[in-house]
Amino acid sequence: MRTNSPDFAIEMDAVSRSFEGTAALSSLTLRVPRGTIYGFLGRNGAGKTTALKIIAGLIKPDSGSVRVLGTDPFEFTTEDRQRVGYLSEKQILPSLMKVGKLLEFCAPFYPGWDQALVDRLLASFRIDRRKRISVLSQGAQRQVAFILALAQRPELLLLDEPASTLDVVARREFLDEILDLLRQDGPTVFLSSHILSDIERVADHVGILADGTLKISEPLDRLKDTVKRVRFFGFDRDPGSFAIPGAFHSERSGREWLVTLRVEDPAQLDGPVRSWGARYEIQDLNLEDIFVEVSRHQNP
Amino acid sequence: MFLYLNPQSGLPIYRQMLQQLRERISSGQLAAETQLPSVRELSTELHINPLTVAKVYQMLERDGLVEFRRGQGTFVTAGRKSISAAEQQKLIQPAIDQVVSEAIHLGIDESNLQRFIHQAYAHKLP
Amino acid sequence: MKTNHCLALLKLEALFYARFLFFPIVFAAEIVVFSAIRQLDGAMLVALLMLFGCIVIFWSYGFIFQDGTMGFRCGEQRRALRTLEFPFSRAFDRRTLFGARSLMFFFSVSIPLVTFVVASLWHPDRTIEINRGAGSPSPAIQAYYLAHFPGAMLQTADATPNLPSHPGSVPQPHNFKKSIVLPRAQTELAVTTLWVGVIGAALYQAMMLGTLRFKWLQRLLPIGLGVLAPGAVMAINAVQIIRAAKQHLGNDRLPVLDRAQAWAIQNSLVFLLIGAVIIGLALRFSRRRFVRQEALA
Repeated sequence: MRTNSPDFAIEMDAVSRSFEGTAALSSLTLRVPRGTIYGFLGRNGAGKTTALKIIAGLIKPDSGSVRVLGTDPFEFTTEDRQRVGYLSEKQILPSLMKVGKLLEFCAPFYPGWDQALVDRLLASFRIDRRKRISVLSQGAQRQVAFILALAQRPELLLLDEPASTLDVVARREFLDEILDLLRQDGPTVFLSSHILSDIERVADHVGILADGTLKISEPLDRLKDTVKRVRFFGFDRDPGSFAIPGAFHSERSGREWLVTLRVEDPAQLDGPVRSWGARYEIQDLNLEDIFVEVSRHQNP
Repeated sequence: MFLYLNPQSGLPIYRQMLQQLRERISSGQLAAETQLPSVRELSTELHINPLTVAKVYQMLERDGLVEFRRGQGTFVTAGRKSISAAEQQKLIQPAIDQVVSEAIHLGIDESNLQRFIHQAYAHKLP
Repeated sequence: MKTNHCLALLKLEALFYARFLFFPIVFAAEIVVFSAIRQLDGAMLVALLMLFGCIVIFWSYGFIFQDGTMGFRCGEQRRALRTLEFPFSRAFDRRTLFGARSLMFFFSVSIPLVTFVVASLWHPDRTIEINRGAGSPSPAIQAYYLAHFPGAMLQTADATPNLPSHPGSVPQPHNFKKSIVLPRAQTELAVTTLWVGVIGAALYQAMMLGTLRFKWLQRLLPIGLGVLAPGAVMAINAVQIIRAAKQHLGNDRLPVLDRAQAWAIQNSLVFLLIGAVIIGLALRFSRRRFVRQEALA
C-alpha cells in the first residue's frame, strides 16, 4: 500500500506518440482525479486507444511523462498491475479457453479477486462458463473481459470502448455494474467511448480529445452549465462582423447568429448585445451537441 | 422515490434532480421530517453516479431544505432557513427571465402573465 | 505461490502451442526415415538440418514470442492468439512468462534434434568408404581419422561374391572393400548437433528479440537464414566435390564438419562450457528485451 496517495489517479504531461510518421497524440496533458468516473471522448481515430495503452503501460510515449497511481506505468511491477484493471478495445482473450477456465486461471494472480462478484456477474450476464470463448458473441466476449477486469477489484479501471458491442439492455447493465463498483470501493474509472449517452449517464468528468490533444477537460456538470448555444437576433444593423471572442463555433443565417460559447455568467453577453442593439436567447446543450461543436472542424 | 431524469438533456442531471426535489419539498409532497433515501439507495434506483446524488443533497442542505443527522440520515427540514429577499430573487431570477422572455415572444402582456402566475400559486399551494 | 504461477503459465503456453509442434514433429519423422535409409553425416546432414531447422524456428518463433503476424496480414483470430496485449495487461510476472515461452520454444526446436540422437542409437557407427574414386579420403586423411576419432579402425571386408564352385571353374579374384569404421561416431555427431542446435536457437531468439524495433529486419532474417544459409553450405559442399572430381585424386581435404566434430570430441568440456556461456548470455539478453517490449498489436 502506498503511503503517499496522489490526488490524481492519472497524470499525463505533454505526451506525444506517433506511429509511422502520423502523430496519434501531440502534447496531451491530462489529469484524472481519484475516485471519479472520467469519460474520455473523441472521434474514431482521435487517439483514445493510444492514450489508454500508454496509461496502461503497454506502450511508451515518444515524449512527455505519465504517472499512474504515482508510478510510470511502463515500469509497473506485478503488484502495481494488480491494482489496475484493463479492458482493451478488442478484448483480446485466449479464445481457445473456456470461460470458467480462464477465470480460474487468472484468479490466483490477484490477491483481491472477488469470486462472488464473478459468479454474480456471470449469472447476471447469462454467460455459460463452460463455453469456449471463441464461440461466444462479440458482446459476450466483451462482458467476460469486463468481468476479468472487475473481479480483481482494481483501484483504477481502464476501459476502452467497453460497451461498444453491447446491445442497449446490456449497456445499461454494464453501466450499473460500474456505478455499483463505485459505490462500494470508490475506484477511479477511466473510460473511453464514442457512445455519448453512456458517458452522460455516469461520468462526472469528461475530456474531449481532438487533434491529438485535449480540447476540453472538466466536470460534466460544469461543462453543461457553462457551454451554451446562444441565438443572437434583432440586430439593429447588418451583423456581418459580429463575433464573440473565444467562441467554439459561430454560424450565421440572415440577421441571426448562432454561437456556441462558454457562458460563465449571462451578464457577460450584455455588453456585446447592447452595442449591437440585439437580443439573445440561451439554449442548453447536451453532451452530444457540445462534442460535435468542439470536435467538428478538427482532423480526427 | 421516482424522479424523471434525462441524461441527454442540456440541463445537467444534478440540476434536474435539484429542481424536482425543491419543487416537491416546497409543495409539501415531501413533508417535513420525511427521511430521504440514502445516497447509495437513490443512486442505485436512478442509475446515476452516487457523487451526483451526494452533490444534490449537499446543495439542498446548504439551502436549508434538508439536514443531515449523524447516524440517522437525511431529513427534510421543518422550517426553512430564512434567506434574504435578495438571495431569493437571485435564485429565482433565471426562471423568471425565461418565463418573461417566452411571454413577450408569445405576445402575452404583463397583467395576463400575473394572472397566470396567480393561478399557478393557487394550484401548487393548496 | 511463485511455482504455482510458473506451472500455470507453462500450462497456458503449452495449451496454445501444441498445434504448432506439427512442424518439428514432421521433421523428426523425416530424420527417422533418413537415418534408417542411410548414414546421415557430412554436408548432407548439415544442409538438411539447417534448412528444416530454420523453417522450424521461423515457423515457431513468431508464434511463441510476440506478434505472430510478423507484419503480414492475418485473420483476427490468429492475431488474438498471438498478441502480447492480454498477458502484458495482467498481473503475470513477465520474466516467468518469458521462461514459459522460452521453454516451449526450445522444446519445439529440440524435438527433431533429440529424435536424431535417439535414431542414431540404432546405427551408432559411421563408416567411411575407401575406394579409388574421387572423394575418397587419401591415406593422410585416413590417418587423421584413425588418430582423432576414438576407437576408429580400418576394416577390410571381403566382398567377393560367393558363387558355388563346380569343377572346371576359375576361382574369382578377391574383391576387398576397405573402410574406416568410427564407432559411436554417428551418435556423437547427433549429440553435437543437438548442442549446436540449442546454441543456435538461443542466438536466434536473442536476434529476434534484439531486432524488435526493426520490423523489416525481422522479416528478412528468417528468410535469409532459411534460404541463404543452407544454400551457402550446399554450395560450398558442391564446390568441394567438384574440385575433388576434377583432380581425379583422393580427397585431400578433411571435411570441415568432421574436423570440427573431432575437435568437439577432443575438447568436449570446453565445447560444453562455451556453449553454456553463450546460451546463458543470450537468454539473459532475450529476457530483458522481452520484458520491456511494447504490446503494440
